[in-house]
Amino acid sequence: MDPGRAPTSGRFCSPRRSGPCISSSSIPGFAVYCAKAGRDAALDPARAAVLAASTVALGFLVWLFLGSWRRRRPSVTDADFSFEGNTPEERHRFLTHMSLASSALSIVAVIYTTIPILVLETCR
Amino acid sequence: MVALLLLLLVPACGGPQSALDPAGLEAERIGSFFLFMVLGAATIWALLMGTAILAILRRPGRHTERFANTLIIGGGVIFPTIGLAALLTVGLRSLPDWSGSPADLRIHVHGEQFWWRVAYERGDERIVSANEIHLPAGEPVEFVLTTADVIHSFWMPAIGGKMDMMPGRVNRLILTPTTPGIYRGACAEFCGPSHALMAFAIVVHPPGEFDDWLVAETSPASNSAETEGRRLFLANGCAACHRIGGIVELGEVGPDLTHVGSRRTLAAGTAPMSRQALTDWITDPQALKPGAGMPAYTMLPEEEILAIADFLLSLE
Amino acid sequence: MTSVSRDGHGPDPQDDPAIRRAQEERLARVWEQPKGWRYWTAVNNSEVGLWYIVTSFAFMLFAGVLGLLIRAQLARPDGDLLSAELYNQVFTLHGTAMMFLFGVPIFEAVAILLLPALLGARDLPFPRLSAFGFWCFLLGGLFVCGSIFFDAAPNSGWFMYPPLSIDQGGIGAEIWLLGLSFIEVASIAAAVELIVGVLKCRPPGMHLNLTPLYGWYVLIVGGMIVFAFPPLIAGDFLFELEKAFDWPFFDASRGGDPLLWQHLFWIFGHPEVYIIFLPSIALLAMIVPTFAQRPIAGYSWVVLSAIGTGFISFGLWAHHMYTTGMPSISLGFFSAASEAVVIPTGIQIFVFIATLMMGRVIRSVPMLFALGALMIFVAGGLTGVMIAVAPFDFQGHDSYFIVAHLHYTLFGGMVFPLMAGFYYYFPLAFGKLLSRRLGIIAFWLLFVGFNVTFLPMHLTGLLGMPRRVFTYPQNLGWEIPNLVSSLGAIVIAAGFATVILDVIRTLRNPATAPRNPWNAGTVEWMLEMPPKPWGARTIPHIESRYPIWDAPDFLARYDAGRFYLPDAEEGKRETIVTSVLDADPVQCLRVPGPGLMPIVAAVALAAMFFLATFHLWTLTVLAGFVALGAILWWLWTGTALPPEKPVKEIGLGERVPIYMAGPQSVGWWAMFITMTADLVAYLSLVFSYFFFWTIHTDFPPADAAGPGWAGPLAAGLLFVLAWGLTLAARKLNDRAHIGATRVCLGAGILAGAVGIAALIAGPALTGLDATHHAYPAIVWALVVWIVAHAGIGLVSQGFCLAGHIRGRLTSDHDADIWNTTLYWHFLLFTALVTTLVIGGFPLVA
Repeated sequence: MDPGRAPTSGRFCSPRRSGPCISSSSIPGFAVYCAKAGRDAALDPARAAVLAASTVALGFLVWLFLGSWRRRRPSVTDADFSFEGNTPEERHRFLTHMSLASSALSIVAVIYTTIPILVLETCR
Repeated sequence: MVALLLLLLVPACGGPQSALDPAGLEAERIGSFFLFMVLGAATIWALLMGTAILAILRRPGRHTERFANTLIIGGGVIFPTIGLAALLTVGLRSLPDWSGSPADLRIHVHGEQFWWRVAYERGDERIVSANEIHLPAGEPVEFVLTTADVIHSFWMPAIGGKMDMMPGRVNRLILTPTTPGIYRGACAEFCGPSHALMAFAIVVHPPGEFDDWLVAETSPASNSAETEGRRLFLANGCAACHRIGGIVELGEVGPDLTHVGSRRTLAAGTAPMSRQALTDWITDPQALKPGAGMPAYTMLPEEEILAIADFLLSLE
Repeated sequence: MTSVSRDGHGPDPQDDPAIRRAQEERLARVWEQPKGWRYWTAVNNSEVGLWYIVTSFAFMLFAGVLGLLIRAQLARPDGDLLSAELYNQVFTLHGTAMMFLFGVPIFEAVAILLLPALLGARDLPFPRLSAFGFWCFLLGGLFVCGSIFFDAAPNSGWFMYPPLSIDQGGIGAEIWLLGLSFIEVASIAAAVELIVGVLKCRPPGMHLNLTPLYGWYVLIVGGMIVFAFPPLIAGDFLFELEKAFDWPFFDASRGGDPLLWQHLFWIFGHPEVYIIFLPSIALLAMIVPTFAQRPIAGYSWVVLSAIGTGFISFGLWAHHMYTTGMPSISLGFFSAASEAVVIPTGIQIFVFIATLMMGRVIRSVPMLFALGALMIFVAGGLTGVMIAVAPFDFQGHDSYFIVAHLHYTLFGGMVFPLMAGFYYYFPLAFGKLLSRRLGIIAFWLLFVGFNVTFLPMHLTGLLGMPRRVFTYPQNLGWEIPNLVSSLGAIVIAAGFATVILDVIRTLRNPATAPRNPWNAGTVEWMLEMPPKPWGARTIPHIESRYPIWDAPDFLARYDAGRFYLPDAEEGKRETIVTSVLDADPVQCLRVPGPGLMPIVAAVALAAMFFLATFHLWTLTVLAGFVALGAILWWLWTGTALPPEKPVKEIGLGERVPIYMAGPQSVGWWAMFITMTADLVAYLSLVFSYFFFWTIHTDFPPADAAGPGWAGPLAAGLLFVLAWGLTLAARKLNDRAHIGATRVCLGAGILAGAVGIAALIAGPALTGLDATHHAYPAIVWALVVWIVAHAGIGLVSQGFCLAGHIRGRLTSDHDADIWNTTLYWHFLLFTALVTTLVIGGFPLVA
């Protein structure tokens, strides 16, 4: 699916797209690698590459997260749930909150897809 | 609800095909992992439902939005993130390693609709059998899983997890049985009309006794007497499909019958081995097992079928 | 409401009751449903939505009866109520019907019925498309379900794994393939309709952040359908080619791989679970705030977690394939993704709990079902966490543990929320309230019956009982849990019987419900009881998420018609199109009324699919031409018609155009979304090509001569030319160069036709035999795909040319050529990728 298409504001969709994508692209990569190289194949060169990619993605996401956090913190910690009204500012607040929370979710997703690389050493 | 499940489990988890009554290293590990997960899940479930019910029954609260926010972030984000990451790591560590094999004994299991072609390989020895798996306790065994036709799945719940048999692929499974006894396995992937009737007996021999069994299985058929049943078996063309080691080694379409008399079940777990079952089977296999490959022998007189059955039973 | 500018000249006409009465009469005449047999030509959402719901519910009852047959057979060991063959048909059809004829369609049905009300719109943007989708669904569903009465139902499981389904599936497998492909087309049609509905038909003022949560979920699920269904359509395409023409995509002995089907099936199949689950949770997101009598706590959290769930759900399909022998590293990744998806799902549940804690909860039947849903779904989610751990799944997979798990997630995640929504929204559809007493009885029957049936199955599975067995022997400890399950199934049936009884009783009772019976705050409850044919009396201006709670004069203004479009002066059905982000009015959209074309097109298309099942190719082609003709006639007579005046006053001082073309118009958006789905299906074919490459050491095989580089290269260049000419035609038409436009369109058709010939020439002249090996088969499949699409491209160029000659396509009214150009953008991309893959990859491999 493509959640980013509708609300085309860049702040809204960029963390969604980039984070999990960098890291999840390692799934087909490893599948092909292991299919071609066999089960005993060590993951080492590929591991380093994925870890580097994950680090870059995480860095980028954390930067985004902190950016939106600075903007959004007052309303996250006070009355976030109160009714959001019909002004462009309110819409912007909504998008910032989405950006904040989706960068958090993306961070989690990147960490999760990196865990297998840390735990496993060969294709098995 | 999950707690209720636990209560149900305690008295009823036995049985020859139970993953909860393990007789193998892998099944044991998975079993205890499962119990640990069930306890965790039951706790989480009870806490969550308690909160939800309280929220409905309780008088309207003085909860602030801040409290709700904390609840959502704490309960919905932080707790599951940490808990699941831990579970994931534990799960990943217990993933099997199929790259090498510590096993001395290899068992080739070839799934066919709807039975199992089995071959034991140790060193240079290779012994052909069917529809029964014999294992030595306390020794890792490598299963080499292939299929002749459609996808099957080889599952011995008491010994360990399952593995599919895929056309065009060779899958492997390494398991270590621990407790001697007789168990039951089955095909787990839907494979056609008689998927339900594609089972097999598993015999885990005490250490040392397995080699005796293997020697016996290697030997040719035990009954070499020229009986009427043997004559009829050959005259009716049974040997075109079935091999009997030492007597007739022509066909390999159907299961090997060299030691069929010693097997516990007939037609891959369809019925317990008996004279009656054998005669019923020879007369009309489709009635017992829809879609079975063997043709019916309804045209043979009953006494001839009985004679063939007696001959087969004598092959121990 | 003061921020809304009124048309401040003289007295407001809405003050005069006579004017209001005249407006209502005109609206009633315009939106009146046809009578007699013509009733079935209705296309408007209130009728089509209702038919859709009733039909999918009927299919659910049918599949439920099949479920009861399964339980009857398994009630005791060695059961012989059904033969093995019939049992296999029964369980295959049970799963197939529940997933394809109930799970997904009921979402579309409910959304088609409710969405316009939730958005204060009069109808969805493409009513005939909904009607067409409904008729496709009905015909396809009857075809698939009816087969069991001829002992010809699919019998290889709802997942249709080859080679079993190819070797032994018989005609049943093809009924499954073609019947369901047909329904998938209908699902994508509905998804297009609903996505455009949410994005472009929100009422003025309803900014993205004010959209009702149900709207968000519909948008997300619509997007998921667009990306999840096409891989299965591609899989069906390959499967049918193998089944009918022996092209060996899944035949391991000729270079194919049955695992490819599993990938394509589950890339669809796992998101599908969430496609079923999310819209039902969406109902809870509407219900919970109403009965907590306060806004939802954490609106943006819900939106975020719905998006997150939808997104991650595409990354975990292979957890259905843990035991196929994939390397452990792959298991690890899919395990990780499967655990990660729990997090956004959990957030939604915590938001509901937080809302309940902060509000004063009113106890009602919908709340009872919502609570039951929570209990069951969380239990199913927790077992899901367990089987996401690969080693445990080695035991659980394909056992009754999975049967228990999936029914817990689907009953808790779908059936119970749906029942909650059913009780909640029943007044909106019929103007009547269902009985509270019977509702509570039905709840307890369903809740208890469900748990008695499915809780023991966890145990049965761990005791080693595999799925899909038509019988089981004694003495394995399976007798008691199976018997308990079978008894529970009867209680579930009693629960549904109670619901049906309640519905019949209520519909016979003349008493109508009060307006807004639950004291809800969202827009849809502004509607009068009983519902009026026109839907919204006037399209409101929205300034908050819960306008009925927040703006005290909202209902009064609505009743007086003081918002947009209170009238139908020109006797046309109209609704408002707004901008995507801020919902500023941009167009007054004329929506069509009753018509026969959707039915004719659906019947012809159905005939095409059904005749193909029986390999009656001549008749199939004939039916295809009838369907094409019907669709062209429909487009010619009913879409992008030049209006009698360019702009219209819609009230509150707003004047908007009536005709729109290009990226501003709903038709362009629909084309874009449809083509995105089509592109995904195409990419699944490309995926298949490279999947074969990963499993073979030599791919393309050494003995494969074709298709060479010359044919693909020529085809690629010709398609670029045809595309360029189409684009030029659009720009020339814009500048009113009449002659040049026609020349470009004509030349484009010619270039496209030669391109098709060149593309076919590649593999044909090099003698690639598609039945020989998977390599030539997949090359041919890509070629066939592009040729078929290019054919449609030529037809649409021809359509534009004809329209230009007949004067329905002019420089001011150019929607057709905009959409054709958009189609050609996609076509060019796929054609170029194809030529690069089939012509270029063999050179580098």
